[in-house]
This record gives sequence, C-alpha cells and structure tokens, in this order.
Amino acid sequence: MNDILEEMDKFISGNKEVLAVLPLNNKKNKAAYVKKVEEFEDTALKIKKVIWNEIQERYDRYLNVTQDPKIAELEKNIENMDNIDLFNELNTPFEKLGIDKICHSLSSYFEGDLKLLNDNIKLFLDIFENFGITLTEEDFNYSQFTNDYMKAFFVEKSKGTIDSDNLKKIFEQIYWKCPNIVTHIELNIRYLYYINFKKIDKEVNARNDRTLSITQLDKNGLVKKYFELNKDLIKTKRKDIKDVWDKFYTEKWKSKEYSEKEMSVLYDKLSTKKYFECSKEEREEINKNFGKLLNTLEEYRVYVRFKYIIDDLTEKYKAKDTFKGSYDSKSKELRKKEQALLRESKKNKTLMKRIKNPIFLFFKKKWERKIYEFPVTSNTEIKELKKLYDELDIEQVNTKIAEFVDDNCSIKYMFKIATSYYTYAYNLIKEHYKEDEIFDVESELKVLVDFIDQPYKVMVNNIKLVEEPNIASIITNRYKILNINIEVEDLEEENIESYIAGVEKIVNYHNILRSGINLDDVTFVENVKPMVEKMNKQN
Amino acid sequence: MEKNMELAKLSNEELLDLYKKVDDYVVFLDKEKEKNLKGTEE
Repeated sequence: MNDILEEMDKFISGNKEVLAVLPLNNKKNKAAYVKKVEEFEDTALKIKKVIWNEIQERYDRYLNVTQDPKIAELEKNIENMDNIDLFNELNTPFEKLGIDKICHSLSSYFEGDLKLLNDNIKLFLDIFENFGITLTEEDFNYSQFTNDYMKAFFVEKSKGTIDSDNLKKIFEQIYWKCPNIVTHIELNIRYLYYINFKKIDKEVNARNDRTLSITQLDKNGLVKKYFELNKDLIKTKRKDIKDVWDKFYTEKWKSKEYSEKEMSVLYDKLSTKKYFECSKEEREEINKNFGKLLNTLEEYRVYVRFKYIIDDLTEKYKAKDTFKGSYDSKSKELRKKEQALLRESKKNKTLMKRIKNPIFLFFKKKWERKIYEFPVTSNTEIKELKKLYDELDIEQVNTKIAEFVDDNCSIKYMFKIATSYYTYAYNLIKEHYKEDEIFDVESELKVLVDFIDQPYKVMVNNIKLVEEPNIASIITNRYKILNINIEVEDLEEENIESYIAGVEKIVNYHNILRSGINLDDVTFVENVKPMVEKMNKQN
Repeated sequence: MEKNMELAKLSNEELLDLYKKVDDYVVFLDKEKEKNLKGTEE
C-alpha cells in the first residue's frame, strides 16, 4: 500500500482510538466528546477538500482534450467540394439540382401542408435564380389557377412572407375551384425545367469545367480526391483523442469492456493468432485486417438491407431490350399533349380578354360556355399529363439501365443508379415497407445515399452483378486467408449483428490505443463523473 | 496532515481509495456527533 494511504489509515485509527477512550458517562463528558469529534471532523473535511481538489484537477485535465485541427480542415475541404454531385454522369440536371425531389414532394402533397408547397416553390425559384434564370408569374401559365396562385406567391415572396395568412386564404379559394392545383404547379415546374434545360445543362457543364480548372484535376481525379479526403477524415476521427474520450464520457463505451482480459478473449475468438503473444508488427497487421473486415461487413449489412433495390434493377436489366425507344416515344407523346394544352390555355386567356369587349357581343354566349368548360377539360388533360410524367420518370431509369448496365457492373454502380434517381429509390423503398404506415422512407433513403457517399466501399465496388449470389462466400474466403475466424453462418441474419459487434469492438480497441488515451484515466473519469454530477446538483 | 500529502504521487485508483477512506471517516464522525449530541441536550 502507498505510504499516504497507510498514513491515512494510521491517522484515522489513531483518532478513533482517542475517541474510544473518552468517557461518555455524563452530559459534561459527552459535550467534551462532541467537541473532540468536531475538532477531528474539521480536520477531516479539510483533508477531504484537498483530496477532492486533486481529483477535480485530474478529472478536468483528462477531459480537457481538443480535437485534432486536421478534422476541421478536412471537413472544410469536403464542404468546398459540395458540387461533386454535378459530376454524376448517371443523371441529368433535373436530379443533380434536386428538382426531382421538389416535384416528388409536391406529388406527395397532402391537404393542409401549405408550408411544404410554398417552401418547395421557393426552393425551385432559388435554384433557377442561382442558374441565372429569373422567373415571374408570367412563367406560370400551365393553367389559370397556377397563374392566379403564383401571382399572389410572388407578391408575398417579395415581402418575405410566403407563410402569410393572405397566401393561405388565396390558396384555399383556388383549392375549392381546383383541388388539383398542386399538380398543376408541379407540372408547370417540370415544364419550366424542360424549356430551360439547354441553358441549365450548359451552365452545369461550365461550372464543372471551372471546378476542374481551379483544382487542376480531371473528373476522375476530382472524385478520387473527394473520396481520399473522406477517407482521411474517417481515419483521423477514429483515432482522435477527443472523439474517443467523448465515446466514453457519453457512456457509449465503457472502459471495463476494453480491459486486456476482455479483449484477449475476443481476439482469441475471432483471430487464429494469439494476439497478445504477437509482436508489435504482427498486432498492427491483425488490427489492420480487422479494420478492413469491419468495412466489408458494414458494406455487406447495407447490401442486405437494400438488396431488394438490386433485385429490382436486375429485373429491369433483364428486360432492358424492351425499353429501347420507349423513353423517346413517351416523351414525344407527352410534349405533344402538353403543347396542345398550353395552346388551348393561351386561347382561353385571349377569349377571357376579348369577351369584355362589346364588339364581340355576338360571340359572348358561345365564348362564355367555352371559358366555363375550359377548367374542367384542362384539368382532365393535366391529370393525363401527370400520369405521363410519372411514367416518363420510370422510363428514364429504364433507359439508363439499358444504357449503362451489364453483367460486369459492380453492386456499387447499381446502388449509384438507384440513388441518382430520387423518385425511383423513394418509391421502391416505400413499396418495400408498404405494410409499415409510419415507416420513415426519407431516413432510409439517406442511409443508402450516405453509404454511396462514404469512401470505404471495397466489396460493393468490386463484386459484379453476376457474382452477387456468392457474396457471403467471397467475404469469408477473403478473410480466412487473413487469419480471421469467419464462416458463412456468421453472416446469416440471426448472427451478423453480434459478429459485427465483436469486430467493431476490436477496431475500437485499436483506435483507443492509437488515440493515446489511457484506459486507467478513463476508469477514473467514469468513477468521478457521478460524484461531480452529484456535487453540481447540490450546488 | 493535509499539508504533507503528496497526492500527485498517487495513482488514480489510490487517490479514489484515499478519498473514500476520508469520506467514510467523515461519515463516521458525523454519526458519532449526532449520536452524542442527544446526550448533551437540555
């Protein structure tokens, strides 16, 4: 035992002995006893305070770690590359700029959510503005209702009050006359994109050229740089002392779970080598392989979670010969109908003006009937157009599959196609979870998008569509060679989570060691934290 | 005693042990005081 602890024991027992021999047979003696106790207590509290100060000082010192400045720098560099999506060769500016998402949101409009409608219209106008196209109410002529609403919208927008009660009132008035007003607006947006496509596409290409010129990279080099930065960020974060401390401080990890004894059992279970008997170099190699395995397992987990998307794309791929030319013919049909509608709409507008003129009195009755009937007929046509636009969205994915997919495509490429088309991926996920009414489709889609954006995708990058049925064996064979105990059964649904948890723990342990954190300090903080919290509450 | 303690030399575990010893001691003294104060009351 340490000298100080021994001395403390002696000090306490000595004082207790002093108290033990004091007489307590009458009131006076008892008062003297209490006085002595108070004297001892006064000293003890002073000692306690000194010790607590040392505890508090250590606690603060251990927790007073700063994040590696490289992390903020990398995050900034990645943020500066946020236009990387513009380089996606699988989709068009409609998807790159998120107009597909806007139209999808309007498609899913439900009664009462006027904020969603207005926010999306504003977003659309801002995107166009950003590409040098300033839209006015005159551009929203898909129907009279659209024009009426957008007139009011632009007035409120100029005042910064798109959430106003006045706009709400106007929307309600129009809504009673035309419950499909949101569809009208959506199609107007699609039409505006169509007629401005060339300008937008040119600007996207010009921006991409500028990016390449500034960075002095070609497209592949830029994408590579983006993934390298992300890789570096993940690596730096994993071993960052602040990050590791936060995991313990927030009780996500517990120091006793990472003791050498615990880890020895785990390494023995998952590695064919006796980890703690290995040299430093061998240990590094073992940990490196577990790091790779964890990335692969995480990839595999995402692959299994979204396999139905691969299955759907594969089905489409098998039928790709039937898609040839269907996009173009559907597009032609749509444009023809759309032009006819817009012509009629223009005529109707002219009639509305002329009817007020007394010289056309002779036609008044006939025109009034036409004007009266027009909203009903145009609404029917707009409904048909909406159907055609939805079919065209599907045909676009089909066309891309016919154009880009073959047996040698990687699994990653297939997922990339899916996430390049928001509406396709969204609808597929929604359909897959149709039994679950409250399922969060948006969050689920984000998991896939984030996965595609993250840099560690060795497995899905390399495994081809044709090899897909054997993925589990490919993984196990690959890692058995690297002295890891892994069987196909470990990757089965009921086992995979616990297997991943074990591998993850080994990777965490390695990162804890690399961060330079002392597990003894962590245990100390874990023990002191409730004491500090209790004291803070008392104060 | 508090002036002579070289606490920096203690390991984390020893420091917490020491704190616990003193804390237990303070609790003991508190109880002693409470118990015997009753005997001195009028």
